[in-house]
Amino acid sequence: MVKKSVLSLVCASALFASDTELEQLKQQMMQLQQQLSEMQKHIQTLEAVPAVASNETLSDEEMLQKMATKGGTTVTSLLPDIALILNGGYTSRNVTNTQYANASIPGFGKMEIQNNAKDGFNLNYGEVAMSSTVDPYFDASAIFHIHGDGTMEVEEAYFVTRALDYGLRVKAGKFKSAFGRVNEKHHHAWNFEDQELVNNVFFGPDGLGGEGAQLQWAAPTPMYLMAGFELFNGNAKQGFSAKESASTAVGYLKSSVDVGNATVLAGLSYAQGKSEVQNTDGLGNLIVDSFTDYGQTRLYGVDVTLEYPLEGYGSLIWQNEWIQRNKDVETMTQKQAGYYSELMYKIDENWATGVRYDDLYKNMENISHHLNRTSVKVDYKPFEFSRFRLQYNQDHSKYIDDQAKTIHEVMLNYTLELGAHGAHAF
Amino acid sequence: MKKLLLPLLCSLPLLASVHVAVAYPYIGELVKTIAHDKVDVSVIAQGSSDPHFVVPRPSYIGMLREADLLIVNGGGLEIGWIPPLQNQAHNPKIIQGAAGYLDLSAYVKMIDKPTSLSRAQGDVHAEGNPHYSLDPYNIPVLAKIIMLKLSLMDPANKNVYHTNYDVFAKQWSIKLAQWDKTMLPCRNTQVIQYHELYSYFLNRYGIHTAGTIEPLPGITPSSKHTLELINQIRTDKIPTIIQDDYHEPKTAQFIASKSGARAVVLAHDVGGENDTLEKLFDSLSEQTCKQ
Ligand SMILES: [Zn+2]
Repeated sequence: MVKKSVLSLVCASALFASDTELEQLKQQMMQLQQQLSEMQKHIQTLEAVPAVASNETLSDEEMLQKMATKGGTTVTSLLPDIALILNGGYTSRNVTNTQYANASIPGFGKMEIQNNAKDGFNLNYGEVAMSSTVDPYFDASAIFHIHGDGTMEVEEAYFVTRALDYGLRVKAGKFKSAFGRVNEKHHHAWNFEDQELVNNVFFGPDGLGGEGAQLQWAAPTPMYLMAGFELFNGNAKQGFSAKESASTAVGYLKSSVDVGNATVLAGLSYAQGKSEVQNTDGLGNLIVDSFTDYGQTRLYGVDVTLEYPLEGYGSLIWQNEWIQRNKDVETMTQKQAGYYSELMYKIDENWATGVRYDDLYKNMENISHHLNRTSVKVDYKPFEFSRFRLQYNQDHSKYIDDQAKTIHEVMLNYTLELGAHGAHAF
Repeated sequence: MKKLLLPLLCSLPLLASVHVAVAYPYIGELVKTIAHDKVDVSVIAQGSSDPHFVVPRPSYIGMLREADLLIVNGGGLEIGWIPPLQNQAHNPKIIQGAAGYLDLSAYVKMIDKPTSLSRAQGDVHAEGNPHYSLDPYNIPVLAKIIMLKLSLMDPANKNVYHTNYDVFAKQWSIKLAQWDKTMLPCRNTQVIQYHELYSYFLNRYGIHTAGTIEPLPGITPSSKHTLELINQIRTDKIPTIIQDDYHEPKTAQFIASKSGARAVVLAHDVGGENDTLEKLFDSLSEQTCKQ
């Protein structure tokens, strides 16, 4: 009781203090009013019409009415944002198209090529992206990827929640996993024209993802801290079991701090699924619903990115990612790992350049040299929505006809974004 | 210990109960003017950087994650950087359409709304010119919107917000009279701008924008267009070239040296030497209309 009354007394005195503050303010206002009327008299003597443009403003009531209608945002259209992204170009290599198509990486087998497959001109894809707010509770997006040969796939189609509390957000549908730094990004947002080698060999050209669900939590901290958990159907292309009941679980932690002008982003990622292998008959055909259970496939990822803004529109970005896969096969655990390191220099609004080094340094097959690739590129953007990119690769990761073969390739690609495309995350 | 705790306990609700995040420094200044220490404000963009292209940094997400109110300039100015931040902050209070999302552009009249839209015309502002905060006559209107919004969200401090607004509005009208006077001699003159960034300020004082250094919105200067401008300035005797503080100033300096016009670099938001709204408009008016 006593405590309570003391508390209210202290509070009352605090309120009283703010009342006297108000008094002071009112007095201040009176003085100002006087000053003002003197000023106005002074201005009138100048015989000047003060300003040209008229100032029609809303009344207080009109303003309040707008606020009552939820923030008073101006809705311009109820149609979803629709964008078309086009990518193509010209490629030149020191190997034939057939040799390139049959090239393999030791320990990973034949590679799947999606873009710039041919020597000469290539139309790589047209991508149609649609996104919109569904209602107060959901946003939804769909991305249709149309390959140059006319085949189409649903690259992503998902919804995300808008209104969950406690910093939670749920995504469900078909989507790319947020494992690591680059997996989630679409091709047109990549720093180089082709996929990072380590992502390509572990996840395939489409990356880790598929039909599934995601839960992300943004921690209530001043610095950025996010934790996420995802569950997908198993997928053989991504190194997991393709059995009907199989699933892949992904977890990650992402954080970022500003150090002066620079930003450091770091992430830890983990993925796990069964490494059952589908059995084949004597002719090498897959047998439906027949799997041999070998155990688990586990992936560990670490990524660190440093961003440093320069004068004007320039910036320096140093991005690094390392992934290791431990896969139980037959009687042993196959351990494979690789990393990439890339340095991008954005010179201004129009020009950017970059170098990248890819390396697969741990492999179960006994090969004497590292499987690596070095790339350099120059980007020219005449405008925000068009980009030309010239890239050169020296690729020591491929084998052709069981022989190590250094592939030199030069690619000149265009990427055009038409229509309304949502802004990209950092 | 208890003695220390007591005033702390009851002063807590009197102190910042509303966390406000704002897109640009000028909005932050207005919030501080209206609320003093009754709310806490975090400002996302810097006053010296291009308001169209703020690089979203992850640390900005922390500001949005904890905010009860997000105030934006609107009119499409933040379209390239606020939505991804909102997306990742997972805070339902401040998403578009929520009560904690305040788009100031909804309350002011925007000029130069294009009648037809095509990106062949460059990066046009589809909803009209969003740089309305550079009309000093719009500032008290914006202050009032913020005052009304804060009063709705935090009715306990309603009187404080109203009083602070009244004081500010009075002080500002004195300044308006001063700027009217400073700008009067420049009425009916012409200027060249880099981007149509200062249009509201110039329109207010009867100064006509005869051209822009960027050939089309968002397109970097071309030599052909630059030469055309030099000729135009010579023929029409345009006295002033206005350059913002984030684009490269070389083109403006080149045009000035070839045409005899005066190139001035103007701030466009609060920051640096112009650490208050008054100082910002003081410098805008003094530099634009130097006698
Ligand atoms: Zn603009």
